[in-house]
Amino acid sequence: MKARTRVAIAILAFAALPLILVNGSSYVERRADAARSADLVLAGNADELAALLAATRSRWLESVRADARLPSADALLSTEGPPDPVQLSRFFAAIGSRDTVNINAVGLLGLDGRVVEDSRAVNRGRDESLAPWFLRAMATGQPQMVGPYTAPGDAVPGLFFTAVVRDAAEERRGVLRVRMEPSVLGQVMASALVATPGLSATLLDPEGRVLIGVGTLGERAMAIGNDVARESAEVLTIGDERVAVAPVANAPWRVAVRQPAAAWSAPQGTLKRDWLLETVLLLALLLGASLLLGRRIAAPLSRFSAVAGRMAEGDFSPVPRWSGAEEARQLGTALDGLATQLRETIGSLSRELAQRREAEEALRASREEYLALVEQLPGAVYRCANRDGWPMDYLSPQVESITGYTAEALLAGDAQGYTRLMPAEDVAAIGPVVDEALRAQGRFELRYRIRHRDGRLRWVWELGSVHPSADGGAGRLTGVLFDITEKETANQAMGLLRGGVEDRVGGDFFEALAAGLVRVLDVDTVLIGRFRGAPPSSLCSLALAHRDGRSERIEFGLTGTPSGALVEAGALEVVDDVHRRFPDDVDLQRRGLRAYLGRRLDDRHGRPIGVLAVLNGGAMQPGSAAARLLDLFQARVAAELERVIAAEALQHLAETLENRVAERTRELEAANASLSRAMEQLVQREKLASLGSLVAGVAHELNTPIGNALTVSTALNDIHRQFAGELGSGQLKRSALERFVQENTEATQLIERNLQRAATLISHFKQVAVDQASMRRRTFDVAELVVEVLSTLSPTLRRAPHQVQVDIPPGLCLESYPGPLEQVITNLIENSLVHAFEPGRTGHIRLSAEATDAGIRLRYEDDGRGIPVDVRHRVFDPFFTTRLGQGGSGLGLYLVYNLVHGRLGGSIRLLDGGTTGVCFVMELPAVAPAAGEETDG
Amino acid sequence: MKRRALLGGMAAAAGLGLLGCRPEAPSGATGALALRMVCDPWAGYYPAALAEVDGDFAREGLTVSMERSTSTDRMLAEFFAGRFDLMCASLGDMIPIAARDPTLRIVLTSDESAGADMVFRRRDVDPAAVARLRIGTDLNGFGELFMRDYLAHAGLAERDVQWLHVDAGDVAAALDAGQIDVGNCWEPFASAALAAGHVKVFDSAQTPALVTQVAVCQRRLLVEERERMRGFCRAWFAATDRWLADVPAGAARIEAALRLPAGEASLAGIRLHTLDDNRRLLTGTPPGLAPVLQRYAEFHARRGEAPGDLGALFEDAVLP
Repeated sequence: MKARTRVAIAILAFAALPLILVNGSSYVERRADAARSADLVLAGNADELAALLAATRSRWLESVRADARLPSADALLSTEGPPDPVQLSRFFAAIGSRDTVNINAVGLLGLDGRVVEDSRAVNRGRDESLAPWFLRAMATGQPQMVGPYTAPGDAVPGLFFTAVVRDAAEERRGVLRVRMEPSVLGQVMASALVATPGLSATLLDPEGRVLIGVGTLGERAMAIGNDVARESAEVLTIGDERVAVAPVANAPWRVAVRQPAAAWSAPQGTLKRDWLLETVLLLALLLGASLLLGRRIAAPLSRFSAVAGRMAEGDFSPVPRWSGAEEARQLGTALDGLATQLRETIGSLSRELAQRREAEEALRASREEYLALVEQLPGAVYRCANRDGWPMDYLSPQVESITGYTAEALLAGDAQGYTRLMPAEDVAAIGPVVDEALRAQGRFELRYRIRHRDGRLRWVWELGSVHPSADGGAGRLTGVLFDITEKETANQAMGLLRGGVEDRVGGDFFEALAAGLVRVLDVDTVLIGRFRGAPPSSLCSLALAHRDGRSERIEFGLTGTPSGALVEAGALEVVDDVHRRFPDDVDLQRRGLRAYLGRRLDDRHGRPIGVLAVLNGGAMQPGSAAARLLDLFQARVAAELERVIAAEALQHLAETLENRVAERTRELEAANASLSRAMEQLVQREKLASLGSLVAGVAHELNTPIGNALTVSTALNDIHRQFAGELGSGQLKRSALERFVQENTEATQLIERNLQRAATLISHFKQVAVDQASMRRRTFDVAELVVEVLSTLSPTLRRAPHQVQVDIPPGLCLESYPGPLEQVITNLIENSLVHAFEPGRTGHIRLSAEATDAGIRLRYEDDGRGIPVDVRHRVFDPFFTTRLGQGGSGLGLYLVYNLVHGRLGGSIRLLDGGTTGVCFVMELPAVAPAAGEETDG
Repeated sequence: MKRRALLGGMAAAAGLGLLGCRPEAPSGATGALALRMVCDPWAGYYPAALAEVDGDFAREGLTVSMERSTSTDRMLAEFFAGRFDLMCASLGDMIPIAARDPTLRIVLTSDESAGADMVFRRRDVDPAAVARLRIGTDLNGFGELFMRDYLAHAGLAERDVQWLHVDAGDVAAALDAGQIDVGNCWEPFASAALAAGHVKVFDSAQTPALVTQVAVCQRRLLVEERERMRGFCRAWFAATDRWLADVPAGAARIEAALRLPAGEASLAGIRLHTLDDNRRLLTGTPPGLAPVLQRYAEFHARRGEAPGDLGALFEDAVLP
């Protein structure tokens, strides 16, 4: 804390404390005064209220005493019989009009206590002899006040005033009783409290019960002892109220003036606020004064402190002008001199230090750049002596990634660890190259192998240079080492492809590739296999090449093997402990293999067909060249394997094709025979259906004429019986005889016409039936034949609104088969009725014929909806119908075509009739071919 | 920095101290205003009950407790003693206290009796045949004027009569006891008189506007709580409109709220006053109700009583 602040706080503390104490003491006194004042207000109100109630009570008592002395009172009590109503009304009005609000009833009681007259009619005759106001008045002879009191039979209390009525001789005549509303007491109290808002008042009975209350708290019960304020006013706190209680003189009442404690203490709260305000203002003034004083005292010290602080931070500039007391100015000048000396000394030291730091910084930067350069090289840097075994004295850390050993490990001992990693033949091979460089004092470039810590061989490319010793000899060798295993492996793989694998196919390809990969990758085994089963369940090796040159063929189940896992995974690389991961693969363990890198071979459709895998007895490195070579050869091997499989399938197909053709031919022949039988059955069924339709038509058509004949013959029988009766009675008149003859003649003619009609129909039906059933050949007139056909179809035609027009000249005769021709015409008409016309529309059918050179041309037309263009070429096909499931069999026109082209020896075609209607044209020969000579359709 | 923090802390402490000794806000300044209302058991005042139970008063920031007094005299005395903030009474009943308290003000008119106040004759008495007709009524209120209208209507105005002070609740008993020949009362006391066999001979439908009911309070309340009293009127008339829109439903809700016997909240013979009625009756120059008050003033003056300045009852209107 600064000295200035400390000084200010000390001044503030010493000055403020006494002031606060004095002011606090004053506040306590003022607060007590405020409480006393509030109590005085309460007590004054209570005293005033008590005095007012006492005075009012006395006034009321005096009033009732005076009323009782009115002569009319004595007169009303002394009157025998009903009183004069005018006198009575005036008496009651004289008393009641004094307070129309509060005087409730005025009554005159006899000496026996019975109500003689009352301003309230219902009170007349009531016995009040036991009422306290009556008893007290009679006992004392003085005016009395009773209540608030609830009389027996009344629901609410009243305030009763009584006075004895005396006659002129001062003899008692009765009692005047005035009943007032008790609220009148409240009115008195309320009027007294008007001057002091916020106060409530309660009138208490001797036991402390609330009689009347005014104001917010007035009617609230209060717990107050019987001994409180019996003689004089008392102020006390009851619950959350401040209460002043005072006795009412000459009455058994006490009056309490009440105020909420919060309102009572409000002025004290104001005092408290004022006191706090004063205190805060006082403290603020003291604070300001003490700060000013502290600043004056502590300012020189602050400046010395600031200058010293600046010097500590290296700022030695002098203060322009020291101010203040003499001692302070001298001390400041001395401080400036000291600062000057320090500035010069520190300046020289700083310069020397800066130069040394710059030199060290340059050296450190140079070292860091060198190390960064060496360590960021993709290869390792070395330095060795030119002695046997080339002992190293430096190897950069990158040598670990090349050899698997740290630089420290290779530098340990005789420092020839790196040289020992080289195969002896490679050491021998590079010796001459190095010797040549030593002689030439120049650079050399080497390519050799080293045995990596993982046991595998790595290729290294080395670029070195010779550093002569002081005597001119080759003292040291330095250079860089690069791992070129990847590049060498790739080169060898490319050589493998170019050197004999690429041109081979099938088994030779797989064998050559497996053997080459063993050699290039320096691994124990390479497996190329083909899956068996769908999904794959076993693997048959196509090539299994070993390091020692052996090759074998195996087949094994995939369950629990790495190759089985490949089916799902697609690629698998287990670089160590593969036998732990696949403990069920006994063969793997037996061969002592620890690493497995494999790729699944898929065909062009993505189906797994085989495996290409590398297996090794030692652990392999993740991300080795072997994995990349597998990726490189995966597609090529898969393509070759797919080609082999396709060739096998082609061979198999060629072997089985002839058998399959023969089998399919037999199946087709059987199906064709079955279809022919089914069609024959359907045709026969269609013919039977036509015959059934014919019989139904015949029955219906014959029913009309035969029924008519039967009806007429029945009527004729009745006429005959009536006529016989008249004849037998001998009363036959001429007119009856003539009527009988006329009716007989008409009936006979009717019967004859109907039977003739039936005979004609039967003849037609017989001809059609015989023709259709027997396929009889005869010469017939085409027009007559058409008429007969229409007769048989007339029941059907009559049910429809359509019209049939026949334009066939008579005399066109054919020597042919009428039955099939009728069948043809019937089918065409029924076809039109079923398919051609919209419901509710009247259609037209037209049959016409003309003679041709070879016979006749018969044309059948309708104006229905026609046949869609895209299906016209199929209308004569069997089973073709546009109403399948709705009554169409699909055989109608097929039968027509067969009959016309077959038995009738003609032809039929469907003309292109546009969008409406159909038009069939039949060319029929005049002489039909004999049976077995039908034209080929 | 420390010095500034110290000074800031001291200033904050001083500020908090000053805030702490701020005088308390007056209690109830922002809470609901509680109004104590007293009324006769008369259905015309029951829109207040409907407004209370339906929350109209609460929405205006009011809580209204309604007390029903069985004695008009006691009700007037208690209101005069300051026990209640509002009183609902017949216009004629209020003339005596209006004469003594010039600060009394009409807040609103609730209704008009249009048949609910009735005059009964004793079942075996023909008023025209009685030598001196004894008339029982509340002589402090509108009863005497109402009965004089009856006498004029029945052609008995010149007859020798005896006026007896009988509360409406005692009329049936006084008729039974033979203490009076005719008397007036209203529901629910009228039903008791009818049940006893006494005969209705006149009703308030024949004295338009004479028996008008009002709600009154001290002028102080209107001045100090003008907006809330305006809200009181708004709530009252909203309840009135709702009741008139569906009379049976409103009566059922009121009877349930006040625990009344069924049928006691009947509007038979009562015409509720709406806001428009009130604007007509209480405002304007002169207000529509002034002639009725003038009639009461003249009547009291004839009785030798000074009714005071009744025109002051219309001042400080708080109708919405």
